[in-house]
Amino acid sequence: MLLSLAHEAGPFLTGRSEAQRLRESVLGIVQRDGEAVVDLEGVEVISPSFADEFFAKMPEELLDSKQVRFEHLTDEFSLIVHTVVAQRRPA
Amino acid sequence: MSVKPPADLEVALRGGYYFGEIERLIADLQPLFAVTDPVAVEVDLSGLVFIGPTATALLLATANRLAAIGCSVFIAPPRNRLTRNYLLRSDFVRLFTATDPPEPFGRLTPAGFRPCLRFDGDAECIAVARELSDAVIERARTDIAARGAIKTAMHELAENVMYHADSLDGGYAAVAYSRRRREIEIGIVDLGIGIRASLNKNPDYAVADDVAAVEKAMIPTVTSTPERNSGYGLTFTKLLLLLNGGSMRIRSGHGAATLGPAVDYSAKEHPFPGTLVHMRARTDRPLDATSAWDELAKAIKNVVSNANTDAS
Repeated sequence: MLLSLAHEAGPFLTGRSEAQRLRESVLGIVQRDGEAVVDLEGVEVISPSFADEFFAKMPEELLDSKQVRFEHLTDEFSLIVHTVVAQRRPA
Repeated sequence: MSVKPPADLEVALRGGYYFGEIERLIADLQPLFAVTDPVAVEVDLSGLVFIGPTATALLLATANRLAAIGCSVFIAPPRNRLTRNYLLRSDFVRLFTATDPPEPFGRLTPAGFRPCLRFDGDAECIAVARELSDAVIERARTDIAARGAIKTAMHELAENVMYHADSLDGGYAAVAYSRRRREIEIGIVDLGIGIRASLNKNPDYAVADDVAAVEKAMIPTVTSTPERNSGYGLTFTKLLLLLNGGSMRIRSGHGAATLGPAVDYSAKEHPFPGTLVHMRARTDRPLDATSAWDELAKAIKNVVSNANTDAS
């Protein structure tokens, strides 16, 4: 099932509490449907704290197994995601 | 492109900080004022729908102070296009990041508006005084005496920052005209030592608290540097505005002065780390410099007379 972040929370994604809510929504979808596609189309701004709370705290096994996938992840957002994930999961 | 780290501290500013709504902004910025160590800070402006010039100057001063002490500061821009455009043409991005803004915006430059101005040094002090007074003169009802008075007032207020604030990065000023309210708002902000600490440098003017400090600062001739300036700036500006039907508000520490239409000195719950002067001048009434100078002369005479009485 597709979850559009811009539709759920608007084009400016900021704040840990909002990120936690959305992350829990994604986990709920995975539990129910087995997988979730997170669509970033329409997102204009992602704050570092939102990125940390949403992406970096997403369970690693769900990302590795592709049960959680991302669409329309621009180069700029990819860089933010990789940076916050690396901070939480140093190699 | 570098990525800011996730924040240790998040502050969200929502709604509108309309002309004059400075106290609420001071309250909302308290967590940022309290920062003394280099931490990662996020300031979420995405829910901001309106911000006036004094509030803009204050926000910019705060962001730059955080950057100056080594904080990583991420600012989420306003979702509201008009508010975003206002910050862009106020030069918020350029003054905070020292880069050009990432998106195009309309400059407009209507009369009575100037981008936010940062000043730190004599030349910049003179320039900002000129910009502020030009903006006021463009909209206010003035004669030749009033135009001179406005220039004097703005210069005195800017010099107050230069000589008394001991601020890390000088001061910030902004001005904008509201057609609907028929008034011009001017804000001058510094995050320096505040009025009490400044006055306490001169034993003749030492005060015990911030309210007493703000009250004393409104007395003509009071200045911690009598060899350098007159001590008339705040008093004269107040008189000019009150005669116009405008108002002036000063915040420093816990002290607050509200001048116009009534006069009130009080202690506020939330301290302001520095000095903020917020002025509103009506454009539907004249600025009467002649009467303001007369009132100033009377006020000075009273001060001198009281001082002589105390001495004898």
